[in-house]
Amino acid sequence: MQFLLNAAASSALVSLIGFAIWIVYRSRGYYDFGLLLALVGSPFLVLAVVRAGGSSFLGILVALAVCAMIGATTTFILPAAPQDRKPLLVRLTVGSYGLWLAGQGLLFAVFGDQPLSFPQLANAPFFNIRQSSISSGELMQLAMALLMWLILASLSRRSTYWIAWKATATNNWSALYYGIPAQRIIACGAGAAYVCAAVAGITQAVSIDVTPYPAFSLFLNGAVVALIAEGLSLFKLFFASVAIGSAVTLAIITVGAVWQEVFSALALFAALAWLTFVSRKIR
Amino acid sequence: MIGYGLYLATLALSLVIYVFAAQIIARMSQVWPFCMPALGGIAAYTTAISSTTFQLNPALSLILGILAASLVGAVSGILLSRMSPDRASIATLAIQIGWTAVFLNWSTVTRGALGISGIPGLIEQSTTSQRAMCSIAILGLVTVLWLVARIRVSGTILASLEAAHFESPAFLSGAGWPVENSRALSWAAASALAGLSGGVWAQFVSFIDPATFGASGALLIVCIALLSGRSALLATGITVGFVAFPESLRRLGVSSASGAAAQQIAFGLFVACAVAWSINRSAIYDDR
Repeated sequence: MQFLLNAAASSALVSLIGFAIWIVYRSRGYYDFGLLLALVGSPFLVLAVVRAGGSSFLGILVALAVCAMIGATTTFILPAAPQDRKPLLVRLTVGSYGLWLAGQGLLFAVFGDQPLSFPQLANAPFFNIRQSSISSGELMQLAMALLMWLILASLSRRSTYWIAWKATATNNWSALYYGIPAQRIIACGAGAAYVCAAVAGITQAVSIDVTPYPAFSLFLNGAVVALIAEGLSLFKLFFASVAIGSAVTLAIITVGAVWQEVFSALALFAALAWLTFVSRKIR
Repeated sequence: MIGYGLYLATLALSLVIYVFAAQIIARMSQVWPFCMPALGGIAAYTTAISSTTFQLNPALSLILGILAASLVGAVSGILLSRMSPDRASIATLAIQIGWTAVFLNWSTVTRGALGISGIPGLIEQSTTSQRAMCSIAILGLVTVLWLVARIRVSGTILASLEAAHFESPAFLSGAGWPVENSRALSWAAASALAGLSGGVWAQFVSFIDPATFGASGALLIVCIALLSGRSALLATGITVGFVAFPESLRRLGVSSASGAAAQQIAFGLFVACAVAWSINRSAIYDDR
């Protein structure tokens, strides 16, 4: 039971950041390190609002709105890579890393590099379910991931926006020729991605102290999810998130939490090797 | 003050050599290597462990370190040469983060976050400034030799061969040139350079810990390599400018902490703007 709870919480967190990386990777053609800014910076924005006398709820709303705006703005600074020019992937990834560096420098300048405690969002830090426990932060991660998947499922069935996004992600130039406002669609997608990363950051901050140092292992896990979920299928994305989340939990139980980054790195390497050597041969 | 100047000079030269190594791999195998500090770290840890735990001669330890980095680099290169360049670039980030975690968590060998202290310099019983001079001599010599070599090679068949590796490897392969072998060789050579930088740095500061070889440094190196393209001289200029920036701010009265934050913000914006400019300057998306 405890394993299931931990695996579900881990999958929820991985799915939030995985979706964020996936949506930028598919529509703009690179791994967006700027998402780290939303992941790491959103708890600081909440803290800033609380310190200024606002409530935590207002802080969260402000953080999500600011992150959505940053996400949308990045699409105007760094353009989307055309689908047939893969070499731009690294160049744009490095450009997004520049944005993250500047943002992290700003966080250092304003908040310093010492860990800060996050305002309490729930009355009880832990909840017990049948002799197993789950933290309030993990519960929030589960709830937010569930909400995200419900919205996505609803969007993918009923909204023409989703069809427009898929067309843009498949080929943004063709989408433009067919009258789809590709730039606006890409900006909206990036905004949604940054909101998801911010939600992941805020729910993580409930359980651990807030610092400007990012959890690279979480970003790597998200990148693995984005890689495994080839194409534009939401089902594959969901399956990849659950698989990686469960594998991370299993790795923490068996080899210990300290080796989590090695596990994440190996998972990413294995996913890339699989795509290169196995997936190509199957086709 | 002279000591601090020597420290900055050693840091700049060490970083320059990492960037040269990244440029070699980028030009020869189209892969932007995010794992340079990890390769330097392998050399540094091998040097440190062999000279402190096994009491080996410092020069021999340094050579062992360079060989270890070169071996790991060659094996990585053989694997990565078979992937597409974009996937291989991301795989190198996985290698970097994986090795950093190994340095941090394999504490029985690497002493974890505490790091390894008391690493002997190349010259026995040397003072700090002597160590710095020795490191600057080695790293400076390699830098100058590399710069001269780049100028001499420019326009020759070797330069054409290098360009062909980047621009038309399929043509080279079709013409019978062993592209994958030459890529693995370039990985080994670049890793040896990174190893030299890491090993000499360990012997200069006489202390290493996992934070020295983290992912942030890896991304910084790729940023500089990407901005400087194939020009070794430009790479040297950008690196020296990056290292000297906080010191010049300190001279203007800005505190060290604010200077470091300003350095990070300025460099981050510079990288983002340079990338955006380089992509937007052309209507066709030309990556060369």
